[in-house]
Amino acid sequence: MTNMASSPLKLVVFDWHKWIGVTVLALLLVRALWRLTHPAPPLLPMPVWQHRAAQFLHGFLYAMLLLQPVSGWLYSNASGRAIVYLGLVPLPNLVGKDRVLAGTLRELHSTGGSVLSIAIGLHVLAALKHHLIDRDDTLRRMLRWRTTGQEREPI
Amino acid sequence: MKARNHRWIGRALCCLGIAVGLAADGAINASQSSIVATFMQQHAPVEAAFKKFSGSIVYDAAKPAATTASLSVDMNSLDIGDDDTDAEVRKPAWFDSAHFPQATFRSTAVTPGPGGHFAASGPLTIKGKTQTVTVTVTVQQSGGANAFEGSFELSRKAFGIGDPSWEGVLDDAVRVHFHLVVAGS
Repeated sequence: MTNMASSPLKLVVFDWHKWIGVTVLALLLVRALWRLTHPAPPLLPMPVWQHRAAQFLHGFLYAMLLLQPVSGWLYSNASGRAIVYLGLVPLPNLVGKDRVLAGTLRELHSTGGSVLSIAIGLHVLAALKHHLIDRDDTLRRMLRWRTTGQEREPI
Repeated sequence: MKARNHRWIGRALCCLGIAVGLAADGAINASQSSIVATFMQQHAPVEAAFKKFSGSIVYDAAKPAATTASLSVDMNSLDIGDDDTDAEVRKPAWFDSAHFPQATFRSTAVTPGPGGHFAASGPLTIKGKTQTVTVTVTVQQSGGANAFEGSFELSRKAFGIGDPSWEGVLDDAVRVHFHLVVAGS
């Protein structure tokens, strides 16, 4: 996206990128409220290192879901671009125009994107491993009514 | 050797010219002044500041109709906020700053209005194209200096800035706001 040649389409793509990011940020807040009032089901029996890895990765994904939209918003503002959500709702500028800050935020947002992609990949691979190789209820436990009961009566 | 001498004479004359320009009545103090163009990109305002410009405004509060103003703006000094966009707008489709490094304005008629206002009209030339613009200017005096402030709208199309493919994402109208400070003589 960043290496697209300058064109009207590039501006449109960037706007949608920002609007989707802002939407993710808003959904994260809803999700955080839900999570605080509805604890996740207990983890399935598995080696302790897997529990720790899962908890760390979940925490990391939440942190990145906050960091990525916020660093993008800041980067947009620092390079002199206000965000007008869906072209309708002007969002506040969090920082003023600042070329040096914009450069730093660009790096942060770009590196964050790569790191988040890797984390999502690991998360998906681990989930598929539990579902297809271990054949446990890790994925099914997200749908409480579809569990086979393994999480309460481990084999 | 001779060529070198000529070059030095040229430079000396150039420096002299700048010095005279600085000392002349009504020279704009660029470090206290600003010229900012605001354009709408997908409903979001983007500010673009011209960092280098020079000119003069000769103004006498007692004879505002005799005001004369001239301004020259360095198009290569445009700062939109990021390197990619700054490089883009210098290209031929936009300002073509390599061929048209200066934009100029010169007042040809000044009409005084009430309370320190006057309307200045004259030719504005950008990218080699000239349009007559009329600008309402507010004058504020402080500490012996005069600050001239105002804004006007121009059409990108009229000056051939940007090809039509951008119409959907960039408004044609661009608002230029200026704040020009001239030390009292």
